[in-house]
Amino acid sequence: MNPLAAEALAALPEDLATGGPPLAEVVQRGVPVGRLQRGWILGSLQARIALGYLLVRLRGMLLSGDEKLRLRDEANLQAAVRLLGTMSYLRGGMQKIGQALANYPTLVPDEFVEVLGALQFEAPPMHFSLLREMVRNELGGEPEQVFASFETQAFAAASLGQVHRARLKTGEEVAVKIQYPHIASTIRDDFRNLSLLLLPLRLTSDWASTREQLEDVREMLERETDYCAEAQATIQARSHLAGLPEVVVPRVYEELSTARVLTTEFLRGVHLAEFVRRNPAQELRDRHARQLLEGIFRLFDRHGFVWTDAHPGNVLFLDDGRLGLIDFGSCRILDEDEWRYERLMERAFRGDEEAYRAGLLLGTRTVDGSPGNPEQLRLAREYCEWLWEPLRHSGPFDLGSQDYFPRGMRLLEALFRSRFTRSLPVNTWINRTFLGVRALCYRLGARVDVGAINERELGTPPLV
Amino acid sequence: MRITAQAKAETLERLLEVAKRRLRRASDFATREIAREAGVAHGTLFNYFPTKEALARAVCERELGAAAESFTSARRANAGLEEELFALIMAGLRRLAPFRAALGDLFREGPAALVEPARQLIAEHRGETAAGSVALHIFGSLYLGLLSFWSADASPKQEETLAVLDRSLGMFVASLEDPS
Repeated sequence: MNPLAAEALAALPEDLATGGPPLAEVVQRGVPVGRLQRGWILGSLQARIALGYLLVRLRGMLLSGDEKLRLRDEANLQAAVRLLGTMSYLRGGMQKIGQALANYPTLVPDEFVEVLGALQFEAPPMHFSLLREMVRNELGGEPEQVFASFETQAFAAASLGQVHRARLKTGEEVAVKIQYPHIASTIRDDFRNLSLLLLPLRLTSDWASTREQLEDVREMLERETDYCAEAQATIQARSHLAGLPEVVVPRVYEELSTARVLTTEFLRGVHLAEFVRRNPAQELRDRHARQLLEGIFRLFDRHGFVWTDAHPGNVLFLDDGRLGLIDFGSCRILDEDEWRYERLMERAFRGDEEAYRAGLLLGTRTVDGSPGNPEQLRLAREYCEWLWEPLRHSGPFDLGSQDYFPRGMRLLEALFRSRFTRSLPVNTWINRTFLGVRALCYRLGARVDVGAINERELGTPPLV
Repeated sequence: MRITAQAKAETLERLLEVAKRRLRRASDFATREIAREAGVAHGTLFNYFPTKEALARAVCERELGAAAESFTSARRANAGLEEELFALIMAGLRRLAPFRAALGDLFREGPAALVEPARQLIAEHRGETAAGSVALHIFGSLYLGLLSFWSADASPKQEETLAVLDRSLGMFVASLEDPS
């Protein structure tokens, strides 16, 4: 055992040493003496929780069987609950982190996923006086001065703020998204605290991969708090999809957009639930699903542009029969290595077994020369096969069938349950996109010739 | 020579005007200079304001009074108490913005120019009983805390102050609810 851990263990309070669980007491009382105390900054509650968790974890190593599990579970859960108490004080921040981590069920202990997953922070709305200050700070004038008209009631909640309808002085109807003040640095602080809480995971063998994924989540969150980045991503997506007249990405008004305010064209349409409620004809369902898939494949296959927010809240069924894609706060562009990986998987899709094996090893972050974990590789391959099933099918594929989508969900569950933590970070976001799209098509009950769309988009050389 | 009430008022006005201009930079805020520029003897200044801090507070009180007036004339229909208090305080901070850095610990209790309109708002929204001395004391402390926070707020455009104010007012207004 490393000397630091041994020292922490030796410093454990007696009641813990006897297996007593009062983590709360550990957290409340002072910290163990010795090098730990000098080396750590223990002023914050979070740090004390982390230490308590670490100590219980270390102690747990010495206990056997069920007792050990019980201690661990209790520590995790209590720490998670306490953490929430200190973190969720600002709307949105915790929700974002919760959502992001829910994509990594393998990353955090089960109890965290449960607690984080259960979070439903409906952001209490900002009242108009606060909004006015934000508009004044960001756009340099009162909402009534900057816009011809500005609705005081938000028409949609965004996890980091809220969206208001307004009209420009030139007459265009726009959606103005406004971020809650100070949320960006709150998320940064919260994430630092969370990382501290996850410190005990360093003791696991997959820590390097875990850290890489954590860093990826952090970067993603950081990007999402910057509306300037979102504006640029929206402009890019709009330009990439300009060749698809039936898919609309709203225009960005850059002169009325900042890091905290984003002004875009207002699209008139309904969300998925309302669209389905109207019981639309099969033809219309198919048409919208085709539009969605064309948009997603064009972005991904030709531009390496991953739109990770493919969920019902961000897709609009427009009154004129087109499809609107909104909210590009969560996107990423494949880098060179990731492109190479995707090209490898494309060859695998076309039947190149050697490329398939190499791709799976790369995707599961298996170190060079290692044969990899056979069970993980088997599950990963099965999952790829499931993803490619509609692409290989000739003619329209029934994405709404009771067989296809639920089968994929069960497969994914098995993957998560197996708790393999090694993965190429970009896989998480690609998965999110293609699962999101499949979920939407499933709910639409649509039949689409996915293979033809894929061939068409792949057939053109990449433009990046 | 007897000094008329009018002359007194004019001197007071001159002192406050000069002080307001000089409060923009802490290093400019010297009583000797203020008195000289206002055309009174240094000692005379202290007949009006016992200390330098009292003079600075008087400047702020007057600005806050003007802010409260502009707030009252532009109240938004259907706004809740929390939003109204927020708007009142922000109107004041806007007037005080040129002196922000000098305000740190200037006040020892909530400025009357703001506490009184706040009292009226609370009474109007929650009844006279809610606007008692305890609530006003809490409001005053909250305001002083905010002022001190704002004065040292290094976040871009002092956006952290907005978050702190929003959060504090949420707690304050919740504390006014009748526990029964």
